[in-house]
Amino acid sequence: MAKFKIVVSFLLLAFSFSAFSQSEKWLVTADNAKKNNPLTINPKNMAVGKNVFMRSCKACHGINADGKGRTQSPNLIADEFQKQTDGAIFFKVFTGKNKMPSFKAKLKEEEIWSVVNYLRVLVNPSAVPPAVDIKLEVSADDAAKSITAFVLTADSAKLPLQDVDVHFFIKRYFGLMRIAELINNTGKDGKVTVNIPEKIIGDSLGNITVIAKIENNFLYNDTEVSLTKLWATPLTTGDETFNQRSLWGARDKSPLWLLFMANGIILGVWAVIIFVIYNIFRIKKAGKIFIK
Amino acid sequence: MLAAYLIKVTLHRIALSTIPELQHKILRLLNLIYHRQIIKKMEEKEKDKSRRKFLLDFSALGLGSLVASSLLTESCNKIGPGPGKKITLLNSKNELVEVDSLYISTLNKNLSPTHNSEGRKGLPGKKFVLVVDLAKCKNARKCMDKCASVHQLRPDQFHLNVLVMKDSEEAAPYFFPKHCQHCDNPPCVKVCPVDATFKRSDGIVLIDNERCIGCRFCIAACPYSARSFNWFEPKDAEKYKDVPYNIELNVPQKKGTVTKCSFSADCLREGKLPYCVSACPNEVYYFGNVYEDTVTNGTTGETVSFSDLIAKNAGYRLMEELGTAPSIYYLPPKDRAKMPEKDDLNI
Amino acid sequence: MADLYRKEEQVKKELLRELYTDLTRPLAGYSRSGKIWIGFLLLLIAVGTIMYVRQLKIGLGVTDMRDIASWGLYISDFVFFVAVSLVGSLISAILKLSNINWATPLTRIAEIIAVAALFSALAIIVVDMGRPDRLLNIFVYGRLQSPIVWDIIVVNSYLVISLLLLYLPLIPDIALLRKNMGHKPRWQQRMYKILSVGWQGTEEQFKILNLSITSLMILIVPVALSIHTVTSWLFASTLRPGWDSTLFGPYFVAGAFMVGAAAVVIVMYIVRGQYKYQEYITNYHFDMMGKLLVLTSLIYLYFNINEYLVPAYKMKSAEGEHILGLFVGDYSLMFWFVQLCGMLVPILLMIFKPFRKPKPLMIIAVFIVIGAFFKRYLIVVPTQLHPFLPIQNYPASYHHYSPTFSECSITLGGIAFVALVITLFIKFFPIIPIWETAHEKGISNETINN
Repeated sequence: MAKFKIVVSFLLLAFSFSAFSQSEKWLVTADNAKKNNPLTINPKNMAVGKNVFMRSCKACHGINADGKGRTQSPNLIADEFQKQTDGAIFFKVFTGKNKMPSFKAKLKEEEIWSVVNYLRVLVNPSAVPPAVDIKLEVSADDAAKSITAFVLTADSAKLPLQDVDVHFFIKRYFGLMRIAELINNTGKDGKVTVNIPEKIIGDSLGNITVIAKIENNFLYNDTEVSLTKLWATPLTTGDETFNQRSLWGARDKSPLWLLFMANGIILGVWAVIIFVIYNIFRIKKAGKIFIK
Repeated sequence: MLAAYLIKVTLHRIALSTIPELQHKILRLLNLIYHRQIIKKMEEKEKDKSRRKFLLDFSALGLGSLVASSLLTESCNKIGPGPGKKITLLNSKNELVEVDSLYISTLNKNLSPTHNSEGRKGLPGKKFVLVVDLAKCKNARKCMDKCASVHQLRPDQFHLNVLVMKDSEEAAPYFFPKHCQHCDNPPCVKVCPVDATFKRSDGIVLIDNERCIGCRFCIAACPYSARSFNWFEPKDAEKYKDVPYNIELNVPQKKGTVTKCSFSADCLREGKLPYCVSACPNEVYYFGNVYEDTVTNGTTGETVSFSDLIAKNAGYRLMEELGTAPSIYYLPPKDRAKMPEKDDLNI
Repeated sequence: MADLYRKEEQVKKELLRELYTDLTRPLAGYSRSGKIWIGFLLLLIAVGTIMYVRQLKIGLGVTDMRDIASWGLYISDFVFFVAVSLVGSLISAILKLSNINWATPLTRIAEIIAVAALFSALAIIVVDMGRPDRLLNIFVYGRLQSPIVWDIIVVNSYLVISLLLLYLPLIPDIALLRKNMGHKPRWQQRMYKILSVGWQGTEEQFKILNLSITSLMILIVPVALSIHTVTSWLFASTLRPGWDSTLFGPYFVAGAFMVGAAAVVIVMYIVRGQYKYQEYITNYHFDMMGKLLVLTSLIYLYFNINEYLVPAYKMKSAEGEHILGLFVGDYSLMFWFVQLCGMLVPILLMIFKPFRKPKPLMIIAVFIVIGAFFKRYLIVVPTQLHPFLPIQNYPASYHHYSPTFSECSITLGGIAFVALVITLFIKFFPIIPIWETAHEKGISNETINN
């Protein structure tokens, strides 16, 4: 009976707990809610916000932050969400709850504040000016294995542009591998240089394709440039080992010792069997001679 | 009879290395003749061009390559007058297309979108690896749902099963997505009597449901319990009756044969991430080419160095002591105290 | 002198005639109980066949096998039948080659048990296949790395050798039947004529025959050992706790000799009682078979202690779970029945002479055979229910395996088939070798030939 009671109370507990967690409001203390956003809304911060959102939030909340991601999640552009203070949103991203992971360890505080700003801009698109085209050029330094992006205005003046965020990637089979930082802003000369990391594996010759991109930027339209360089370690495969004879190999790759042993035994046994069957015919023949 | 079989088997052994090549050549020859005949027939009948183009497209996909000689004459004879009923086919992009049965009457039952011998080879210059970050898995089960739907599995069949693991009495539990480990020393492939399950050069262990005899030795041999059997007529068997078999997607399922995780080989051929990897909302899965030393996260799309990821997070493989050399690495489930509530544990 | 010789010859002829009449008594016809028996066996086979047809239609899902326990009763049947078939080599080759002659009247019983059990073993393995329609794939795509392929090669070779070893010593007896069975239906006479391959009993024919039999006897020993060793490798070649053992080969062979000898005792007892063969299958034979059973059981006991005590001492995680399941868990009742009633108690009883008398020995043998059947089940099933990783998200029924009616009736059909083959053999051929018995009684070849 005692056991039964324990089971029942446990079930009740589990049930109430689950019911509770479904309807419970995510309470944020006044202190946290009152926290002020230290960042102003400017293009530089916004780029950080959008980049972080695209990397860490998009999967669940959807590319438009409307909650239509891979899993059921709150709509971040709904009024109900947007009426919260910046501090409350920051607190929730920082601590996490249930399905919402904590980003305490994954993001810097400024990055979280940038995301908050980005969410504000999403419902207020007129806050940012329309994006314009720009020109992106790349040059490579073979000795240093470095790549320089040069950002200019798209008009005939070709003025170098400062503080433009350029992304650098190396092309891989399933996607682009980021090199350098998440944010690489151009200098006064409109240039930013990054080094190719060591130990990069290219194709069978050692070629890699490096891509420079402008994306997730509020002032400029997306653009990308790529170049292929013989900078990497050539790709080596394990095909030689794979093609060796082995126990898990296909039938035409059975180990030689197995082939010889098995066939030897089969031949030996069946030679005797055939000899005995032949003997039956010999017995028959011997009988016929007797009759004559 | 028995002796004849044994002699045949022995002969097979002797001529082992040459026979597959020979077979392949004969098949290619037959294929060539076959297509010529079809095209000739088509021209005679002066069918409209779009339809002909469709058929040619199919042959370009290598659809016709599996045809045996007996089938040749049969299929040619079957091209009769007038349009037949519409038949649903799976094309190389995994889209279902409707085709007039007149043109594909016997093709559809014997040919697969990816040529069987092509599907057995593996993608050149690649060896696939999956990294599962156990610290991130929250049992959302989006991967399982996606897997079951694309592979047409019954609810009690798993290519991918998210387990709740508890290593000892005191240890905290954690979620553990369990796939086929695609071992480099696969115990299941070793024991297959007919080469139905096999390992490709890109590391993937696949099964050919059109060759499997259903002995289930591979299920018995697998230490990870990763394989499943079609004990009954598969789910929606009637619906997919006329869909040709795709060895890389492992569908349609066939009654009386074994089915297993294929690392979504059909996606990989197109440079896409596996179904489960790209369905995960929690950044659990990284998938990539180990020769390139990079893996891509299915949730964030971030591509990182495989060796760095493993080194920094103490990646390990499941039951290393068995010597199976799996292709899946696990990142330890740190922070496992943050398990979701009990009601989420649908054990 | 010549008179004496003739008289002696006359006596021997008389003796031979008596011998012949005695030993061909089962061929005379079917008694009522015999007909009922055969009808009963046919019924069991028919039920098994019907259930198999149903299985073909619905799929292997008619069994209780599922993804966790994917091998069940069928595979344990297969192992059981292969085990029983091993006795052919023990009685007719190992004992003969060691010049142990008391077993001569039992050789044919042993051989026909071996052949019948092999037929059933081959049938049941096809029943276990998910796609029997693809049976030929084994020959078309056969892969030498797989223990299944080894098993197929070895079992079929053993079947051919056993058939030959059954047939060759039968040739002189068939020649006798051919001469004396004029009243039988034409087809049966034709069969005897063809099978006697013109046997005249000449010295040369005897020489060829003896050479053939001896070569087969030598050949069958390694082949017999390998059939059961390879069958054990179906399990031992996996990494599963409970199967992953280096002991499995000899362990299976020892068990097979035990159950085979017990099966021979049962058939001996029935044949002796049914056809009043007390004179040919004497108490001495039972006594000796009892001793042989003690010997084989002791060897098996030794392997059992090794197989269970060593892992139980260590209690490695997964292996320990499996061992606990056998000792005190779900399978403990069956396990201790097998160990006690199927092995330990029989050994203790058979040490005493009174228990080696025909009837008690037969009862003990029945227990040994039943124990051996369950033993195979215990080897195949519990291991699969204790995989390395937890069984989760499956329906609750997946955690257990209990054979369905389909599986049981097909198993019974298989056993009935073994009994039917033996019964029909007795009805068409002398189950105790006439020629060899005559030889032992000092009747010369010439007398037999005339």
